[in-house]
Amino acid sequence: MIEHAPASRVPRFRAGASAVLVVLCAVVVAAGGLFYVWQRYQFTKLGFEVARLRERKAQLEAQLEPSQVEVDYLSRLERIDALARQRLGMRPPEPGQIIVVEDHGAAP
Amino acid sequence: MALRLSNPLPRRFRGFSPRVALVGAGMLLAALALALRAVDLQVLRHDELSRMANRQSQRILRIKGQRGPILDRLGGDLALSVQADSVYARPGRVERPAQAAALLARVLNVPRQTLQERLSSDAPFVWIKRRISPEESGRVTALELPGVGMTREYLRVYPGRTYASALLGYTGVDTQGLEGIEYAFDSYLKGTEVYRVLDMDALGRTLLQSDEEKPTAGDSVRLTIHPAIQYAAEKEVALTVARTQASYGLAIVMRSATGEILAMAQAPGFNPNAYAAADKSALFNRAVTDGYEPGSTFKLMTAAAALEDKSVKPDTVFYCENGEFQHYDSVIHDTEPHAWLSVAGILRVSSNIGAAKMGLTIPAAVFRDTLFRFGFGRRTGIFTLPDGRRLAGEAEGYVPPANKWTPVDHAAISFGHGVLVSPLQLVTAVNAIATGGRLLKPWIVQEIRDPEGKVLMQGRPVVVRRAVSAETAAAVRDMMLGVVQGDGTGTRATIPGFAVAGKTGTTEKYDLQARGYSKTKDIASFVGFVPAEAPEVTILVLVEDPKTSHYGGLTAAPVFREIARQSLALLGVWPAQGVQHVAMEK
Repeated sequence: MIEHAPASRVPRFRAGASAVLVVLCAVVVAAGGLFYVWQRYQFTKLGFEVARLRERKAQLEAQLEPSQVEVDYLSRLERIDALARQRLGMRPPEPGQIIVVEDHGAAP
Repeated sequence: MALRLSNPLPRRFRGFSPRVALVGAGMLLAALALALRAVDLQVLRHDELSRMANRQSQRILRIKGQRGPILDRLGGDLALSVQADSVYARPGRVERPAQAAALLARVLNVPRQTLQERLSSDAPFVWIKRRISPEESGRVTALELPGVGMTREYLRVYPGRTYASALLGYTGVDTQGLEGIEYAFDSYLKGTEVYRVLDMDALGRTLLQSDEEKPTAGDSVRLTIHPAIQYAAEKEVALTVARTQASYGLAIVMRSATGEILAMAQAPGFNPNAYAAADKSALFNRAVTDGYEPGSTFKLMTAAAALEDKSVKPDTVFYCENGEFQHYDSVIHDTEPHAWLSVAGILRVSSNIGAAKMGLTIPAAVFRDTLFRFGFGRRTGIFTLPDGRRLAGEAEGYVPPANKWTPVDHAAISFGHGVLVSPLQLVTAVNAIATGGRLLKPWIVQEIRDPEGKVLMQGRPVVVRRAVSAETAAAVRDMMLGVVQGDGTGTRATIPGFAVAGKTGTTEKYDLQARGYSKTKDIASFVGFVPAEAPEVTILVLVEDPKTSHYGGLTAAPVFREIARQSLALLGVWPAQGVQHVAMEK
């Protein structure tokens, strides 16, 4: 058995105030921690959203590019030559069939 | 038994039993062990574990800037880069690799076994298929396979397919230039690349990158190529190659006054969008990269050198031995027997004996110097930038040193054997006759602009040197007129309404295995300019190994005529007669 020295008396109101202070501190720290976690969560969530929207933007831009290729492909001279000959019955003019239209100055 | 402490514990610890002290000590030890473990993990093995963690949560991605486009002189797209998805996998995160491989194989048309091997590998990252179509991309997205993702890369596209293919070249899987303009101007076209570290979550989703360094797009290269003249040249060469069953043909169209290349055509071509399937011999731009023995077209140089040296005059005549000339230990033949021929006559009927005798009147050193002044034996500089940097890909040709010319070599060089020239060198040299003796540097890049539109380089006519005097050039030009008239060898190059100056060439190919000239394989060619009095275009046509007729006058001259006729019309050059001119109504 251990014998203890006599205890010094602590005022009851001071002990109660300390407990409240500790609880308040704990609440503040917990709230701060929760806020930090929430903030990180929001940051990450928005990060995903921004990354997703960037990807979407890139996809939409990429969808335009094939159109340019399609235009280039359809307007290639080989195709126009074939269409002109086959569909319109066109052929190169004979020397006597050439008429050169000359513009001798700008319109007034 | 009562225990009395000599130094009693403070009041707040009084009442701890030894059991509590034991547990406390145990917990202290456990905390110490945890602390030591933390030091081990956080300090001692920090680097190793960081690497392991990064491998699992980070991916280093090489991002290339968009490769710059190649344009024709009117701004039309010859080559451009578009974005395409590439599928990758992180094998460690793929659930059921066999099932995933089967699904991917079905939508990507890749062997299932190949995919299964990749998905089961130990590598942290593997490519599944690169640069897939938008349809394939949609199907892969719909699969929602864990551990399988897509990233965006650039795909090089050549909308004209075989159009100007040999000139443009092609790019490799990492869009690096491998041949042609793509290779020569790769340093401008390729742009910059950056390495980006992507942080990923447990599901493989990419997190926001806050400090993204963006790659710079490549510069645009605008060529001097005229789209319609290029098309006309390609079409005519391809028709002739098909008709004569030749192994290949090419044509170069140069603007006489400036030296800019309007067309550089080659047939058969290849599709640079799928170059791996092409015949390897079609991949090179032979007009620039190949050397060949020019044969009779080289007689123009012999005549120019002899006239410039004043060792002959235009009316000097040579005895042409009636078709057979014993020269030391070799015999020189003509196609037709001739007795006496003037310099003009030698060119008109393309006499080897006459050209040899004419060439032998010029001292070897003087002859070689004239050939150098015409640009033979050195690169034309078509791929040399204004700052002097020389880009790769051009043949130098070969003219042997004058002190090594034997009398037989000297005679052979006079009619275009024993020297190697590139087609580009030959058309450039003949253009010097068209321009009154001034050698112009050929150029094919009109301008290079950076992505912001700032002009980095602009092509312009450059006079390299005077090859021969204006009088000599005029005399040779007049002789070239005779080649396409009367009994000349190049009458099929005649264009109604225009005076054509030209020269035919028929060269036996050197057979490396037989160590001699082939009797069955020839190169037929025609080079000339039109209109002779004020040249607009200088054109070389070359057809290798034609099966129907090996004569340049029969095989290549008609191609010259068709290309020249269309080129003149496209450039707005009309004959003085036979064309009606009307004024535009206001």
